[in-house]
Amino acid sequence: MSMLRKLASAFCLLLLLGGNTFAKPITPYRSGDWAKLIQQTKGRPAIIHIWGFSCGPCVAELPAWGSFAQAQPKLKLMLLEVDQVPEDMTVKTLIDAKLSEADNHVSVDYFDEYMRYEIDPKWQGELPITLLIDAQGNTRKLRGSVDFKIVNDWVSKTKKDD
Amino acid sequence: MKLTVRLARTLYLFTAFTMSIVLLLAVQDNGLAQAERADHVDSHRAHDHGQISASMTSMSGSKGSCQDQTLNCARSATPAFAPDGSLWLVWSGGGAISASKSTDLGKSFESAVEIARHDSFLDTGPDARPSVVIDKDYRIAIAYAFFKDKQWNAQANITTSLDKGKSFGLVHSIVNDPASQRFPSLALTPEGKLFAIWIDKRLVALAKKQGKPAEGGSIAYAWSNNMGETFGTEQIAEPSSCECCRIAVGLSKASLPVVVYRANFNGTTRDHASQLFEAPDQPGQPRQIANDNWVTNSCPHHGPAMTISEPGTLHTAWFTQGSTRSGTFYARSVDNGQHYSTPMPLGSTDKLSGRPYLLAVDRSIWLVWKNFDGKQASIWLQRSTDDGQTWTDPKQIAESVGYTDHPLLVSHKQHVYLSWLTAAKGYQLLEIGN
Repeated sequence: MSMLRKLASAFCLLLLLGGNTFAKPITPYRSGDWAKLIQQTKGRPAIIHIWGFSCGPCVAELPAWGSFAQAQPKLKLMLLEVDQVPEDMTVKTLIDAKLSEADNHVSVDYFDEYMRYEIDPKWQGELPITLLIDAQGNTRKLRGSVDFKIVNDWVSKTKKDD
Repeated sequence: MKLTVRLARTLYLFTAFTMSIVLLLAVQDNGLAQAERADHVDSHRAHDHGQISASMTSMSGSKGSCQDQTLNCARSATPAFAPDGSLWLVWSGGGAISASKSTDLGKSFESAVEIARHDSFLDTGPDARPSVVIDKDYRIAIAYAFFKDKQWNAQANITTSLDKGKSFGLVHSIVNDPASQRFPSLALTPEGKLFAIWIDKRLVALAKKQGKPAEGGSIAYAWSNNMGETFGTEQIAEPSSCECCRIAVGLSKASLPVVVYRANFNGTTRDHASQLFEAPDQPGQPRQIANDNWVTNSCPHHGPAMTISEPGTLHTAWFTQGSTRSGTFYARSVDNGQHYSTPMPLGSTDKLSGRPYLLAVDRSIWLVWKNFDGKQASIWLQRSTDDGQTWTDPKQIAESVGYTDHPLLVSHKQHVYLSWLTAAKGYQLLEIGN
């Protein structure tokens, strides 16, 4: 009976995980990982969007980022979530926002001033922030919820520059 | 028959084993299991800042990564002095709110009491912290917030001790409304009436239900005549505010609440406002403290500070990234918030100066803030002895590597202390004036 219970539990958990297998794996983000993240953008335009569950405007804006990701499937879009919340919440929120296929990262370290400093020595912690990084590595920072016209104009420009 | 049963058992064992392996691999692949998050809570500091690693090890013994609910691992700690001079500290860490008493000014603490446990649903955001007040009869009230559901709606809770902290009553919600409430702050009148104020989302929730666009939150409050065991009617002081910054609260000379918060002027501009109550249930008009013009739809996670001095002057300090000014600033008002002095910059944006805190004793004002240079945090002090008209030069009074909380100020019998929680040096209570 005990074995059956274990088996049933394992099966249920597998089913639960299976429900999320459509999503790309979410990458844990730790102190020191920023350089690795930036390395992935080398030589091609990319957007890094940093958000958190404790930030209402961030969560409200996610579906718009989902639509943007679907409209720009070839653009490298990375999302970094900075609050430590239960994993199933992150997964569900990303699926609901149609961002499960995006390149998602979640901070597993408490996202303190050291981690912010790695990203931007002048960043005081406001969220969301979005970095538009062109192929040459030039970065434009957008604070707060974005005006997608600005983002789309930037995408068009980077395509022309290519 | 026996062979069939054996075969079935073998098949069960094989399937269970295989599924367990697959399950383990899947969990490892995803890499975000809660246990892993906890294991790595402080790993970056151990890897990147060697000094801290050593200090933390010495502080936390064989614990390894800092994830328990002890003061060593806390994210925020709020102090309050009891009438007998004991220092009470209430902290948030390891998924719990805990409290303890020190009779030697913070050098050592008695065994901690767990006030509440919410694990990963405890609000430990950058501007969240428990609030604590102690009345003249040594009754203690502690308020904090946690996330009550997976839509990340919060609830503001409170508990009361009527026996000098020997025991605490059941934790319960301050608020009856089912919407989200966050960042509760408490203040106590000399007559022993408890004032609670918080960020409230009921109007936003209602607007959304009606299909209307709605952002931010509201400033809401309630009074209690029994140190938080029960509250009177919840009321909205200001319908529109920023939703992610704590509120600063104090009392006027008439023992009426004075609050300073990040407002939401015209639905676009997250500048600060002060609001002085004209009667216990009559909040006055919010008034803009400075035209910083921070037009943003973001969460700054950076609330203001305020104190009222003996002459009734309102002193406040805040952080902004407006187009008019950017950084951390101080200003004062001698006419109940109708006009404010020209904002005085604190520290520098290069040093990430922020998290200001103020305390007044008679006409003396203490003002601290935190700098961060990428390697360590430092606390800076300016003092005024003429009710904020002139100030001493900024002076560094503390520093620490590793995780550090916001600096707070607390006083007892004219003695003023810096209260600062650090991971590397532990809890610091430094006397900075009398």
